[in-house]
Amino acid sequence: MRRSLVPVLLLLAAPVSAAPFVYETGLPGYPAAGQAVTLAAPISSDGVESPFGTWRKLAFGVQGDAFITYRVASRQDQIFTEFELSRLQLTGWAAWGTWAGINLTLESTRSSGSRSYVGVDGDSLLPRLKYAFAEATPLKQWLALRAGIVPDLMIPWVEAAWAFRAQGPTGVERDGMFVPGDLGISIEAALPAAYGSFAVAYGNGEGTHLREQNNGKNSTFALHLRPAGRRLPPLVVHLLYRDGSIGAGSAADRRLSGGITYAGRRLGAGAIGTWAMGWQGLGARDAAHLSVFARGELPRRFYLFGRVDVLWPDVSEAGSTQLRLIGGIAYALPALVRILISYEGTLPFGSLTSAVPALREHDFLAQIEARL
Amino acid sequence: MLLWLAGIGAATTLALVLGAGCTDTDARASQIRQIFVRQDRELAAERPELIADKYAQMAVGTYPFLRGSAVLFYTDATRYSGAPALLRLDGTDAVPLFGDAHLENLGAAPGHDETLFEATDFDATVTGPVDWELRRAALGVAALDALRAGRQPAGDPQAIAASVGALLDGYSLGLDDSISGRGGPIARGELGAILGAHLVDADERLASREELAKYTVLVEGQRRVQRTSELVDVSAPWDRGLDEALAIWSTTRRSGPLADDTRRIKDVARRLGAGVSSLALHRFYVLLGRGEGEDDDLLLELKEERDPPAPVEALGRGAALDARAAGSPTPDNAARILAGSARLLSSPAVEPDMGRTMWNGVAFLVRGASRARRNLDVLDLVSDLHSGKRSDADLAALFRDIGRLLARGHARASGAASLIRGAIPPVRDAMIKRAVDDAAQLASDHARFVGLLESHGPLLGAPRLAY
Repeated sequence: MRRSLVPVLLLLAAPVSAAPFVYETGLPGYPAAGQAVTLAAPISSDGVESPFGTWRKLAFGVQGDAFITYRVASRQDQIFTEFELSRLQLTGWAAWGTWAGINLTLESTRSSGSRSYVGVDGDSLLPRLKYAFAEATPLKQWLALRAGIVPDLMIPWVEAAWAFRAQGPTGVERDGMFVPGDLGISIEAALPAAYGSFAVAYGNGEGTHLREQNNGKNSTFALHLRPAGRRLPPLVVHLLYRDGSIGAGSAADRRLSGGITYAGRRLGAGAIGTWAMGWQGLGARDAAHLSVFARGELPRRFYLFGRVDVLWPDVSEAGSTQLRLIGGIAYALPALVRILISYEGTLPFGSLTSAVPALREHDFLAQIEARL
Repeated sequence: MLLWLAGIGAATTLALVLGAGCTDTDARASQIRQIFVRQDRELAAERPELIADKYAQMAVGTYPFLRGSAVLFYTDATRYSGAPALLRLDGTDAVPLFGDAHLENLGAAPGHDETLFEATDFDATVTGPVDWELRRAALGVAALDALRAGRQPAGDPQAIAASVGALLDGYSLGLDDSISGRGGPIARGELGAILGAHLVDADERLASREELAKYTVLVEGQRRVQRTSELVDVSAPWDRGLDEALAIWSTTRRSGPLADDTRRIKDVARRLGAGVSSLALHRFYVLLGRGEGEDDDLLLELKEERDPPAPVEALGRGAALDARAAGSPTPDNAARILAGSARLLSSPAVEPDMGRTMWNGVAFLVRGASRARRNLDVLDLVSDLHSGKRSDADLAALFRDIGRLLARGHARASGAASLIRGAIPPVRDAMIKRAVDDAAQLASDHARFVGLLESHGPLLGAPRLAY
């Protein structure tokens, strides 16, 4: 059922997916010449269809992820093993034609922070809001407005191209370049002839885990350009600038980021470079990041994926870098479930080799990914 | 098309007009403010006057600032900062640590019939790398040197180098002690003049049970806790549930449970104004009757315990491990501290009344409110040095004694004395140099902190939290 529907749904979804279940963009799909704007089906870039239904003009549906991980980690001279529910995400959405929609997305998180000894009842897994936004598209495919906890203007594009979020957060998220969502608003306008979009976001800057701490607001400007237009819609060139601050001390937290992604059904790839002016609460620190990745579907529902993340935590010390290597194989059951086996190595260079706690780590992960 | 252009124009204008990040120009001041506001955000909302008192205390001088700024120290110590934030001593990353071994957290601790040289505050104890401990202790030593020199901005680098060198010599000596089977309390005869006199004074306080004279009063033949500006009546919810809390404490008491009829509650008062780092935390004095007369009464201190300043999750170890070691069914901070102190105190006879409890959902460490628990006082030390009562040699001996105490504790708690011993010499010079730099950083951070209080108010401008 799922496989047979995929080509049809892909046709429906091209060239741009639509509606509140799409995190990369708020814009409805760009229609072919002479056709009306329609609501596309909820389907991920790599072909996972989510259940949805319609009633009159109302469309509604759910999406869900559950990633169960068994990790064998070698770090700080110790072997550490653990089972972890590395992500549980559940989305409910509704859309009224192509005019307006809402999205409520819950994700699991550990209840203690990085400096907390204990959280709620120890260090429990708790649900929290990852996204909660309303959107409106008053000018058909041309303009989309979102307000609430809105998705970041870069991470969803990278996740769509990578399509192996189960292995772990994308490099730009894990290394503190971007956070998945923020309280605020975003406005996105389509470029003519399906050549992409230009988006502006205006938000607190504290992400999903802190309330606003200062009077400065983050302003983000992003251009997502599809150089081949309708001929090759998965290919997108990104350019983003964020002017922002974080924390009660208003530490600088600016980003300049750019790159290219290809989010195809069977192939995905990308390279994203980011320059951080202020990083992790250190306003005077410039950091840099490069993430390069690729994934491909093999015959018999096997997949290969690999990624390299390079982090320069202080660009004034160019020789001190953190390298993360990820490589793995996956196998998809006929429905719902993929099984992933991967290696992830974190290797410090330069003066990072003497950092405490030690950065060097070798992980072997066996994971079950259930997607709805 | 016009609408499209209008949409883009409106969005861009909105973002530009409403404002950019409005970033502060002094990045370090910004970082300091963020760290304290974030650490204290709940307390600043719930007990703002106490947090304001704590910040005011910290502003008084570099040593009070050192005492209240462990969270800043650990933030720096776990962040990449060009040069190694901490020196890596292979194989010594998982040692039970005292956590905040500055001079005013060390001193005399009460035993049954005598006092011992011990740490007197284990609030920050975690399992972590040895270098965290040595860096923090070296900063405590260097800050004393800066005070003594009267040159608060940095102190004399040569004097700091000598003092930290003595600390590290003592540390190596303490490891040698443990390797040769002498890992218990440091004998009185081996202590320097400063600690020797300090323990004699504490012994007198222990024998006279000075806490009863200082904090209690006989009213119509019945002993009660005094009421002063620092000892006040308790209010709800602390006026109930104490019986049950003390029953839990009794089962966790280091020297064994007390029978029900020997822990009769006679009075309870709230203690204000104690400590620097913990100034805003709940602290109570509870007077227990243990017999027919009034002289056997026991005065207990119940101190609220919160998360340690060190980023325990960064170490990748389960937060519950230390607490479970203390027999706590659920992890809490009092259980962490009880477990840490049990590993690091040099004798089972010391701190006989220490235990933990949960009262009104808050974790408390319980111990005797003994006046024999007597911290070193840096201002007294500086005064003694200036007056000639104590010499440079006495001070060096004190630092060596501190090093020995830390080393014996680490060795006893981890069994890794040989491993640590071999790891110290290659990084010794770097440790000394870093202490000089840390002392300068401490002084400049203190100046920034004072400026932040002036510019942002007594709570550093913490945003109001709504509950």
